Amino acid sequence: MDTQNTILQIDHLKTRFKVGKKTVYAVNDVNLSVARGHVQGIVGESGCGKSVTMRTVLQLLSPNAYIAGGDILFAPEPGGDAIDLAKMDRYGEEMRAIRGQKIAMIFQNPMASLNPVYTIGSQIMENLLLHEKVDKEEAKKRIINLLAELGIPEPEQRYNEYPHQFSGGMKQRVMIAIAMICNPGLLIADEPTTALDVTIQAQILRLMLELREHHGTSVIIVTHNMGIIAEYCDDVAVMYMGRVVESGTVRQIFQNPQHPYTRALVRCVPVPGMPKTNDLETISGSTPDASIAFDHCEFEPRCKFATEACRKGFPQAVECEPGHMVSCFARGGQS
Amino acid sequence: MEAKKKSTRSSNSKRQFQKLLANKLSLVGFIILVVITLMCTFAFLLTKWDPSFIDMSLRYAEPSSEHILGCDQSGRDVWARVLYGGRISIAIGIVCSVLANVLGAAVGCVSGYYGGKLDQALVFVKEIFGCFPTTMIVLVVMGLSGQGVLVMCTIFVLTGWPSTMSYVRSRMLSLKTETFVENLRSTGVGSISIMFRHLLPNTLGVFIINITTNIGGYVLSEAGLSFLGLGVPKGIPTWGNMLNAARSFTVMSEHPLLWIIPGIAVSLFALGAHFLGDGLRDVFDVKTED
Repeated sequence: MDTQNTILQIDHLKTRFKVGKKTVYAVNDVNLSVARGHVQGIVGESGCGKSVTMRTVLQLLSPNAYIAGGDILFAPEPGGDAIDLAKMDRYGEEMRAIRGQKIAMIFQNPMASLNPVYTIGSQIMENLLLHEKVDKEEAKKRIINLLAELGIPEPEQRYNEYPHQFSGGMKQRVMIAIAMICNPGLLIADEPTTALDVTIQAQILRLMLELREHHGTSVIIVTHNMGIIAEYCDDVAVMYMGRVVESGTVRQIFQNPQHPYTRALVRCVPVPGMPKTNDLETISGSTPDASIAFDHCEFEPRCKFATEACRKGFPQAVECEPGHMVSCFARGGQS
Repeated sequence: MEAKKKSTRSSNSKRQFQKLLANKLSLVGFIILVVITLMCTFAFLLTKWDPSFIDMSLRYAEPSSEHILGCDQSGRDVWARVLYGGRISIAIGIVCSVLANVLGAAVGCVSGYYGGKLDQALVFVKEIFGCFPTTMIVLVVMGLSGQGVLVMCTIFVLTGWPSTMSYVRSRMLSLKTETFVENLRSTGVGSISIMFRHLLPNTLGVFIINITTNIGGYVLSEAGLSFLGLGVPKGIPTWGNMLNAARSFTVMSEHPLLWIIPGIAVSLFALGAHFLGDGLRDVFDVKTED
């Protein structure tokens, strides 16, 4: 892998859950590469494996989940060596040293993401002291500076306040502070704005772009909101049933969608100025049961362009224009 | 800025304290507990007598300026015995209550957090300890090994932890699914730290309530068992032993101070603990938050 320009490369990743006697195939063969300093969007409907893929990167999986194959190559330093996160012990020291320090994650629900019994200052401090040797005075200064940078007014005072004294948007800023205090190379935001109202959403997302500018952090934003992708991301990967079906730059995906699923997704979104009488397109059918292993393209049952080839195997990704990958038989994919 | 910081910091605990003060009954309980405990701790300031000093010439002496509550059947000063006896009774109550609750909380924490086989095993152990009646065990053990403060306290702790364990375990089961736990894990915090540093403090309210009410309960149990002659060895003055010494019919009818005084002390203390515990329940219960 090209560690100069790529910070994270996921190859053929498979994550499965054992639920009783059944196996849930949550992530099937995900290939994704995140460019250094870019904002990578991951989009797809609920249950398509976006969050599980991201959790697999940090191995934050429940005990019944396991990685069935594939590599997660992570290169913290440009030009440095890449390490394979998928091969690490989930509970090991190595993995814990990466979490929070090299790769940080923020979650969907800021309301419940902070421990109600500690001040926000001490919760940010905890992450800092866990990974870096700094004395408390200096740590506090750094935290207050970061809080100020994240747009929290009166940071010295807010430092000593409890989570219940913060609003949702402010809590999400605190979450970002916890994630960013160790200056991680990669920030994974798992639906960071789903629980927030629209104006706060915009503020939080803009904040993440600013962090990218100032700290050079690469960001992955997981969302099902096409608007967020269009507005804030550089690159985007579209996922369906545990597979990346199409990836490329935002411009490529929105202006020249290739995969039938991506096309449908793009047309599902209302656009300002569109005639009121136009019906929005829907995707017929529903997502198949993830506990049944597919032996052919997962989108075939819902696809208008399905042919005999689609029922026989999985299409390999092909590059339809530079940097724009698509996995579809109808677009020249081979099994 | 410094002053401002202080005001926001204390506002939470201040509000809780005010809530406690607003509950008159719990305030009374709190005062009773503090006064009795202080009186017993500083007993040497309130009486000049040694609680074990025997003067047979003062047998069943009536209250006088020297002995304000009179003397018992061995001529020992009753006032001194109540004060010094309270030390042991209260100490037993506090130590047993704290140990039982700490043990219960620790086991409940591990059990609820890890779940699975370990949880089943620990719940099974808890059920076994929880289903024995304390008095029965004390009767049997004391009969076999003889009286002893340590033996009694051990039994109190061993039969006392299950209730706290159940509560902490059930809280853990719900707390461990909170998003903040996942968030902590995502920053590389270890399980032990998550369990004891982050989740356990969330159950602190009930922990404090349990300790308070249990202190009263154990003081009462100690008195009851000592009264039956099964608790603290006779030589050590405790409220229970004083009641035990006063249980003969002649003493009951002719020297009522010998049993009324320790009886009042035990009842007041236990009542105070229950009142305070009740008040604390209102303070810590978030559901009654206005």
